[in-house]
Amino acid sequence: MRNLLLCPPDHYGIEYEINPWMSRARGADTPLVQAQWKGLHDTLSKLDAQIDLVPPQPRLPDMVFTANAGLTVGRRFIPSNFRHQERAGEAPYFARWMQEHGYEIVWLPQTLYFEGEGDALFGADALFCGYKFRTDINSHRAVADILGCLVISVELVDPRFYHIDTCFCPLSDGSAMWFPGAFDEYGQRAIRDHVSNLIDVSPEEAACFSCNAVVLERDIVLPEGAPKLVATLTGRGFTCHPLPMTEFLKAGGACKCLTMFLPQRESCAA
Amino acid sequence: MRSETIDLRGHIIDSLTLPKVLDSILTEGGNFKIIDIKIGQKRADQSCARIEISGPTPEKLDAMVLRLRELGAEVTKVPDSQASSAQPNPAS
Repeated sequence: MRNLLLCPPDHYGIEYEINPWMSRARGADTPLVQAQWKGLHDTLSKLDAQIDLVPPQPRLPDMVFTANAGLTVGRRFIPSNFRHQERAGEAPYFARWMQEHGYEIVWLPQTLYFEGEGDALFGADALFCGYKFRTDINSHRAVADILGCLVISVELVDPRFYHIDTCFCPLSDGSAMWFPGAFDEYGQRAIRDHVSNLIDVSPEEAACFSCNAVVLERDIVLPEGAPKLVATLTGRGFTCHPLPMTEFLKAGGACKCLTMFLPQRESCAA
Repeated sequence: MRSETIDLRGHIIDSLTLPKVLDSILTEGGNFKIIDIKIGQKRADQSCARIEISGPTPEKLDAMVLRLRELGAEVTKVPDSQASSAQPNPAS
């Protein structure tokens, strides 16, 4: 059983533009937002997951994307230091909720941008961390100091895939699915060195945010629009649960962005 | 020729950050000298390297340093006369 943190989309909307997906001229359809988020919530609830909800806050529309709240390992929570002022107000609400639920809060220096699980995913033998668009590489070093784990830092080069969780998704069997074009050549090599059996996602299916998936052992909850990837995963014994995510894609997010693991790992040795 | 000294620390071997930094210097027409390097012995150990870099012009050197800072390099103030005996911060 995995514990997950979600945030109801009561205040979600496209109210600013901080990534290439966002356009205030292309707002979210509120009834569809509610239906798609409920679809995710209900799907995860029926799988091996227990869901906690953090209360949404007015004027913080992206708080729905809980993956960016921080990184949880065991009972320690490292809150995000958001790069964009538009999201900085989320951090104290997430930190307070985590503290109230018994987690030790370990802040990074304020000078280091770090966007939580959005840019930090455990896979195979390491914590894979993305940098450039949102997270600073120097924050990776600080996270490694705190957790005492191997951190593989990879540079993101395509602004559409501004967090690592939009283009890389570790699977429960030690493999991973990814869109190689989102990484520079060194990042691609570093990932290949540490993850065997990588599943390449096509540019078309990657653009549907198909790597932005929630993996619960053999179940994978991912956005609709990636039939080839679903066929590949099914062939490898996974059960895929494609969901409509159109309204969240308008903000550059999907299933994984809407979900944070509590914790992502019990320890770095796991 | 003007030079700068940088420190690079972290999982710079597994992440290929060290070769990336060195390639970046050469691609921009610069040169480097690794003054000291300590490689982590265990999986979670971080490594550190102190590197002296020089560029074809002061402007290109400044641009190079700017790019290397994005890759996690920290500029260290080391007098030229002491550069060869300089030691990086111990890995943690």
